[in-house]
Amino acid sequence: MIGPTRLMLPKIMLLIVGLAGAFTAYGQEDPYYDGKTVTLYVGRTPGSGADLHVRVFAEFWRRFIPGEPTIVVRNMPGGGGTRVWNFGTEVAAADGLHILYSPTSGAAAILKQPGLRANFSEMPFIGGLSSPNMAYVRTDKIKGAEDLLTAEGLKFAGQNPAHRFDLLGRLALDAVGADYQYVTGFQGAADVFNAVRRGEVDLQVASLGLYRFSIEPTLVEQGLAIPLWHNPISDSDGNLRPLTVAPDIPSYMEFYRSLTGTEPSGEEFEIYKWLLPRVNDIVYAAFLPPGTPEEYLDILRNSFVRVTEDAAYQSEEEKMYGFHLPLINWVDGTEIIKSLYEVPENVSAFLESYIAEGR
Amino acid sequence: MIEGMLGGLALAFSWPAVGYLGLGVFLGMWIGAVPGLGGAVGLALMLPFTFGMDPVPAFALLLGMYAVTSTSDSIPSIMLGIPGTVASQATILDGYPLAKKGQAARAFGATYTVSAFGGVLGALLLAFSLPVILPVIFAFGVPEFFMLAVLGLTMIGVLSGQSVVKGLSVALLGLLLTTVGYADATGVPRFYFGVNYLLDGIPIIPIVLGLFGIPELMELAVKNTSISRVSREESGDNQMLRGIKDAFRHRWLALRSALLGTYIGMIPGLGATIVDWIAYGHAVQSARDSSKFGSGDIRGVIAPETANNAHKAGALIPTVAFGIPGSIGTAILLGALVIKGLRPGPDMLTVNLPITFSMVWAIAVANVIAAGLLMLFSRQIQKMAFVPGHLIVPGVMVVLLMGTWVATSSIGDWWTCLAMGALGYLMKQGGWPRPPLILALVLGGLMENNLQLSTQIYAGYDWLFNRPVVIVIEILIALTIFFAVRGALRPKPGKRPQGGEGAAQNPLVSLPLAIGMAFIFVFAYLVSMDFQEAATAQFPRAVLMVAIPLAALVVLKDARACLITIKSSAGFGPALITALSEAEIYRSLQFAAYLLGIVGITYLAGQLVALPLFVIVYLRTWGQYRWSVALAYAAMTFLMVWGFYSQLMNLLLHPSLLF
Repeated sequence: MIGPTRLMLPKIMLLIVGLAGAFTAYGQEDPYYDGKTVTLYVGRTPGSGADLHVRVFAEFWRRFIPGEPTIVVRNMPGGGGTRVWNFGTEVAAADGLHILYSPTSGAAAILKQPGLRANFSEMPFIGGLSSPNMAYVRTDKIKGAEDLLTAEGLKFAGQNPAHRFDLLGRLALDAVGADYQYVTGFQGAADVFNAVRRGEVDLQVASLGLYRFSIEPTLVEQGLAIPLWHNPISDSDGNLRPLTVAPDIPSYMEFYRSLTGTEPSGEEFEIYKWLLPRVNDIVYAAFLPPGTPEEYLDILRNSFVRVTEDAAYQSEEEKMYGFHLPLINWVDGTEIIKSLYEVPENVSAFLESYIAEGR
Repeated sequence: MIEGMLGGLALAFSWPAVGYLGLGVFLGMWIGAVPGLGGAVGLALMLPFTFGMDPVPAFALLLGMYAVTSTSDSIPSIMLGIPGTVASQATILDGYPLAKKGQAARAFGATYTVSAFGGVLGALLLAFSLPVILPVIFAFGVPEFFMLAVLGLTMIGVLSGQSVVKGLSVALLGLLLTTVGYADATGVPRFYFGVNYLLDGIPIIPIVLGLFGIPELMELAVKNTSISRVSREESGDNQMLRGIKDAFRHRWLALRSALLGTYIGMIPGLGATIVDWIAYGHAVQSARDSSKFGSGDIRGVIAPETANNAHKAGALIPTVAFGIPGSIGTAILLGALVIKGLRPGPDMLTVNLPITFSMVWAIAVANVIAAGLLMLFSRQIQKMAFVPGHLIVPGVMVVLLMGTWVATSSIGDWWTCLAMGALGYLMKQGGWPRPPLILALVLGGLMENNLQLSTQIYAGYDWLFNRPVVIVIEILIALTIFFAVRGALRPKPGKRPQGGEGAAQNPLVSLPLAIGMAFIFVFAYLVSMDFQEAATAQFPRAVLMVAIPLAALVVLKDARACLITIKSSAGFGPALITALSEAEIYRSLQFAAYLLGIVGITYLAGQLVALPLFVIVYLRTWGQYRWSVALAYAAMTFLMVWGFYSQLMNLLLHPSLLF
């Protein structure tokens, strides 16, 4: 027969376990994002390249936010891309549940794009991704990069004089002293690419993704075009360093040296170097509305980084772009964004007349 | 090649691909039929669902949906005079008049037959054209695109009905509207007056839905009539079979339209909208008797519907095979290919040829399935033509406004839609044709952009004389203009459309519109004097230099017509009363006030309050329906706006001030 002590023992143990559980739970709150819905606003139309990127990123991001909230993507195109940013600063609630994740070019802030009321430096920056880009040229007039300085009738095509590809391309070519005609007004990078394929224009600055997926197989591998340079990325000291994702394409510094035999210098190069991190390093940028509490910021910043380190996400990036988009962490990114509003006078004056010249 | 075709066929019919194809077809039928959605929006919505899927079933789903939106979009075009997608605008011109005659089923029968034919033929033509397509695509450079846009504009003569001068004037307004927003070449904003909404230009969907949809709904509301102006008994039996027979009777027109759609479709940048109008224009120009176009000629349905389905297949091959998307929809498909790890380009014609052909087969099969299913559904849909107008108007108005909302979720689109609705109403009453405005809107950007690129790349205008394809198109343009002018000066019996667009004769309504247009042109010219760069100012000024004298001519003609009308009515007062009464202005203004009320209440309380409230007020005050009917209808409206647009489509609704 079981004695009274033995009968009591299981009950005492249950009580101890229950009390231990209660004390443990007392010190621990549910994650903020548990059961919540986070809305990501992207300033492009559904189905666009940026929209696809944001949707794929969102699929992964939710897994790394404690509480695994539902993430909903809402498109907010319009206003020349300004609408989403204006919405972020003027309307969106600062509760950590509304994130603006959209392509941005620092050019919009530097050049004071019409309609842009948002000040990026007042919006907490979560993180960003770069989108590497490069220049290539048809081989009708140029067999190798060394022919660039002697080629005649070269046409460099772009979208508009204030677009970062056009600005960087022109500055890069002017810095080495290339002679070319600037043709502008194409409605997108794909249109420029088609014009290059038809032989109507010769040179384009394009994203590395477009290069890998379209330009390389259809032109470069057929011997119809060669890569010239890729635009490097800046380190935290402001020095330019080559991209690791494009080891087969010379960096601009190498390209410059191979053509001129000297280190890059000159006014155009200095403007190019100043402009590069500000218009090119952060292409996909995630911000929160001004006034968002710090604790939500920390959660989102950490989870953003973890997404980019996730093997499954990296595999998706490989499929979409052929490489990993370089991460711009919030520390470096915040510095870059701050500098968009500290434009030296000589740079401002130069850009104004340079863009006017292109028009 | 044969192996690739057979391999593709096996893939397309494998499981689960064939199941997803069926699902895609089913979804596409709905998406195409709801105004404002369309293939591109459907693709964007469904793309995330395919992330974890293998390529073949993923594309079966996407293409099954995408291919059939060009078939089901004819439903609102025919039944309501509202285009389901931008590809079915031309169908309205004769499809809706057929519905008014009680022959909606006939229009459906013809539409679905030729849609299936066009989709299948387009797919097959492209499959066999693969080896030769690339040189053809690359024969079209920026000068050729410019000339194609000009050729497209010559359709204005055909689309202007009885008033070519007004049609030209309206087209010039359309060209001017394309210059609003950032100029392509310079990145400088034009005509935006500090309004951010205008920076990206005026979007086409609110314009089309407002210009065509609101006047028709207003007419139904004001006249309290069903869509069909004849009773079901008078309309006759076996209309759908009659439509199918019409399709076979006009098989050569269908074949030519399919060829037009397929080969224009493969040229990047020339979307379905252009194909639609070109096919319609061709049908009119090639007809021996074109007097019934615009008032219910079945050929006016057959031509555009064949072409816009053939176009879908045409646009796919350059996308997949060469990485050259021809439209927004194919650009999304290109993104989908990339996400699946497929590289558009030579691989899709070699290693992955079976996958390419599986897509071609998916389009062909989807078109056939959709045609069959829609024929079954349409037996019920066409009965809507006999339902009292007051029951149709509120629901369609809600769908129209939310369709306008889909693109950018901006209240600016509603204002654009309403403004265009007012313009469309006045144009209809005043005898101004509306299609030239849309055609010019579609072609204007193409014209300006390619003209500027051509002059830059080829240093001037020599390309007008030394490029073979340009010269061929110039000859076509010259011939088109010659025959149009000859037809206008010496009209042959049976060659001038008797009804349809531009047929109304109400000079007292037309004159204010003419004066307003002249004012807009002059004002725009004065504003353009501030444009600094030549490339910014060139195109709008060139348009305005033609538009201003033309508008003056129209004002003079209308003024003369007004004087004649006033004299014959024994005074201005009686003439005005008659004119306003014919235009049913008083009831129309009341309806317009309701629409403004929707916008006002949206600002205050949001769409989830404004739209059901409109439904209740309309049904109670105009329709005189019981509270139970009005409330039930309003509840369904609420569920549709919240459930479908807000939750399923994730649209951002307008924030309210009060809640």
